[in-house]
Amino acid sequence: MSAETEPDDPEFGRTFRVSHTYRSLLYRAGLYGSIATLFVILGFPIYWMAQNAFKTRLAIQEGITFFPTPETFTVNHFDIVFNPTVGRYLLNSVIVTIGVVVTVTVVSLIAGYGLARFNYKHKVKTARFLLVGYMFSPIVLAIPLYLIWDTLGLLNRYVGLILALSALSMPFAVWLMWKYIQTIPASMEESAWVAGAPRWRGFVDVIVPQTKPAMIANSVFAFAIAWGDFTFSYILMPSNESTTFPPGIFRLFHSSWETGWAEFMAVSLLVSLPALLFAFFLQSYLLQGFKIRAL
Amino acid sequence: MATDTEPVDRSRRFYDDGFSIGRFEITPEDFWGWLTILPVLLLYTLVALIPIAFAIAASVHRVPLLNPTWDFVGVENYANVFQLDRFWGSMWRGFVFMVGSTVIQLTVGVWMALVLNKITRGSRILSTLVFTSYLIPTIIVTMMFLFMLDPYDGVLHAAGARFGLWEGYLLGNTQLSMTAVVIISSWKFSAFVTLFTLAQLQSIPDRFYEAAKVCGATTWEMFRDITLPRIYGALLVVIFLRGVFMFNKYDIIWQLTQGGPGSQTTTMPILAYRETFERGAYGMGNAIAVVMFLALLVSGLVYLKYLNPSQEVET
Amino acid sequence: MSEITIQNLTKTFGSLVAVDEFSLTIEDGEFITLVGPSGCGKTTTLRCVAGLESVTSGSIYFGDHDVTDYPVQQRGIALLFQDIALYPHMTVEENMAYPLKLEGMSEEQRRERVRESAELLHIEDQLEKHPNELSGGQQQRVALGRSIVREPTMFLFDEPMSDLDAKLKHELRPLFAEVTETVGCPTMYVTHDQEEAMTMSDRIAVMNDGELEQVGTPDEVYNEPETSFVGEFIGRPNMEFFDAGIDRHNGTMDLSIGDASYRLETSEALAQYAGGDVRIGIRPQDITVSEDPADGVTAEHVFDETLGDQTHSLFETPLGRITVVTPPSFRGGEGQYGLQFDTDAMKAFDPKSGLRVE
Repeated sequence: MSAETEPDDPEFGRTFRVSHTYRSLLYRAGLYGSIATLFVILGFPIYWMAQNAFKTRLAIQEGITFFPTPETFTVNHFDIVFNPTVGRYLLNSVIVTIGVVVTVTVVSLIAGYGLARFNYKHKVKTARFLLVGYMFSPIVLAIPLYLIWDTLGLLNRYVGLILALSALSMPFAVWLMWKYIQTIPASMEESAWVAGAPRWRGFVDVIVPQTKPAMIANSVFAFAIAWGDFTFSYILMPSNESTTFPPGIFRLFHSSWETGWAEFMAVSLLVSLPALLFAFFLQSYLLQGFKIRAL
Repeated sequence: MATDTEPVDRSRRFYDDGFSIGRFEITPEDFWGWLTILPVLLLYTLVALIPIAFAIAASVHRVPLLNPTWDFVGVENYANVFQLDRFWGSMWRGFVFMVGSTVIQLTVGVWMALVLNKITRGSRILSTLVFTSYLIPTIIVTMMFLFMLDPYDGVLHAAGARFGLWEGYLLGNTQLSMTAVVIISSWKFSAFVTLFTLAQLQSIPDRFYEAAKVCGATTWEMFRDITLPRIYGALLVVIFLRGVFMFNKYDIIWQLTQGGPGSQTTTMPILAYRETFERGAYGMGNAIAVVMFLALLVSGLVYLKYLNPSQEVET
Repeated sequence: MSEITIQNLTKTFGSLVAVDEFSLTIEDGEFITLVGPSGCGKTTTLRCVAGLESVTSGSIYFGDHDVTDYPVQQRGIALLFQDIALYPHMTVEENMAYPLKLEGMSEEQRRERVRESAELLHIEDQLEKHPNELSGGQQQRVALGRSIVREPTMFLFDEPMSDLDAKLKHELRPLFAEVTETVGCPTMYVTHDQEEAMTMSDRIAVMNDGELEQVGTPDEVYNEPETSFVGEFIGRPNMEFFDAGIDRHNGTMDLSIGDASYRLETSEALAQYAGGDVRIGIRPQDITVSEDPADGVTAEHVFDETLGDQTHSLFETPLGRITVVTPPSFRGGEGQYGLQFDTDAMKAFDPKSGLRVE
């Protein structure tokens, strides 16, 4: 029972074991405590990476400090981007990521439109079958793909990696586009047909502009898969000239090459920058994407 | 008027009226529908179906990686795989990794989702952090944690030593390396659970809570009687997806420990990679891949059949 | 421009017959309303005429041209959708100019034509806005404008006002009439609202269960319903129906409804039912309330709906509940009354087929 002078039988409403004031206090303490904890857990590694990217090597070795001072501050580590090896990795990553994002966005747009607007045989079964793709592990696929790509001459080629990564992003992208186009009223297109637009014209003029949120979500998710991919690239792009950033920097890290933590943190910060920007500016689209994924 | 004067091409075109192949009738809807999904199916065939068929074929051959000549050996690879101590060990460790990280991700992920759903100020910053941890490349997460755990310059290492939590390099510690890998993986992948759950939470209409408040429900009662039942279906789906993804997870473990120390963090994907590319036993590696795929397929189907999450999820 | 002829139009979805042998001619410049309950096939009919659905059998002519197999794009129709279907990513001007753009008209001409239509619809100051910045009524005007920028062969309306409030409906009805008058082509207006049908149409086509029940002017369908369905569907409050026994008696017909009996003029058609039953329909406007319970059908008053200019009073009778339109000052209390039916206003229907017996 609460210590307050709350009567056992209130004039109206119900009594609680713990009084309203205490409950609300408890609730708010829990909420704000949680927020603070989450800020620290999620933010600290990123903060640590960022602040050390701007410190001299010597400053890092001399002990743990929480901010770069004017004496220890430097931006020289970002020169690592111009290092031919690392620059090559980054360029490869950019090319592969653009290829995957374009492939996934275009192919899922067309397939999603077909699922939403054509009533063909075995449609739903086909779409369900795509979801089995969630079960395909990159490692399980990459081991057989290694020899297949070798035979087809796709090993160490951008197109080989782009195809593999696009396939991995496809089931979700197609489902999202399907469900999204279903929310656009059929009368939109029909009114274009009535006005004399052929079917393709109605698709281009009326449907495509309205799928912008779904296309943004698909692009960002495809970006995350391509930009972050390690396994496929590690196995399918074995040569040092053709490999992308994640396996490249991993090999560099384990080789004897003289690179300090500061340089690694600097390039890591650069590589995570697009993720940070997308997370900040496009979060509503991404959450929309998850809403449909949760269906 | 356009239609009064212009003659219209009335000849029947196959893509307006359909056609048939033998006794299969192809309507225009079938033709165009299948045409739109065709690129996806081709991609799927090339990148998923053929490799799996190829893996099954390779798994019954002895294929040395450096000089790929196929030598039929029947089920020998499978027999060898099942006799390997390190296979059963890796299966157990893979199971530990999968269950451990799924449980942590589910707990932390749902907690974060509930907080994000209730937060009033600073929500944009917190969700930016959540989304960042989801979108950031795995290698960056690895680099951050390797740096923080570095025995010379690492802040977490210093903290761990100071409070006596562990001695030496954490990822080289035979007792704690698996736990460390599980926790670091969870840092990255909890966000998936959060976003999935948050999307579901936001689709619960406010009127449900308003009605409960009118009846005098407490926050806890509202959570138990409204929130939990509404997100239950989504949670079943997310447990399934996380379980599958973590069972298959190769990159973060390999980047952090390469399966070490010893074989303390060698899960099945790591074993498959090692057999294939370090020992050059391509047929053997494929046999492990096939076993992994089948194990996942069977347990996945059983899970979906008995819990049937798709029916639980509100559309 | 010329009339539209629909001949024996049939549309099936699998085993479901949505429209069954539907025939109708819409004269040039005529406003015809297709009215019926939801699921009666009226929208399917409209979509077949528009070319959005293929026809199972039957033909559609625009003038002398058989357009049955024409794709929707080549029919040159205007269609106003239930959900308006304005493109959210285009401005009002771009929305209205889109059909002209498809025709390949120059930008200058497009502007000119859009401006003309916008003036007719009083939306010339909204052209720069996006559809979501407009009110529901303005959106309807824009959609209407988009339909009329190029001269249509035929104007189709698919329940365009079903989502609007009553006030807006009243505001838009004359506008629709004015615009279709100006365009001057055959118009087919689909609705489930009989009041809309009565107030806007030159002729009304009443549909039920995929079949055409009756076509006629608003006066005809209201006063001379050909089937009991039309009688019930058109006019508010709903027509009341009773099973009545009928007997021939010395050159007149004796009709018994419950305890009350009425004497009707003999007609040949009615005579066929002598000794059997007919179904009698009477509008609540044609029933009078008498203070004397013994006068006509005994009725116990239940309650009054006061509308201001009239009252709808509900009575409990041995024949079931009956609504009567009573004078505005009528207040029934809990009293007993007698209901009298105006024999001249009674409509007799066949009890099985529902067809009018004349």
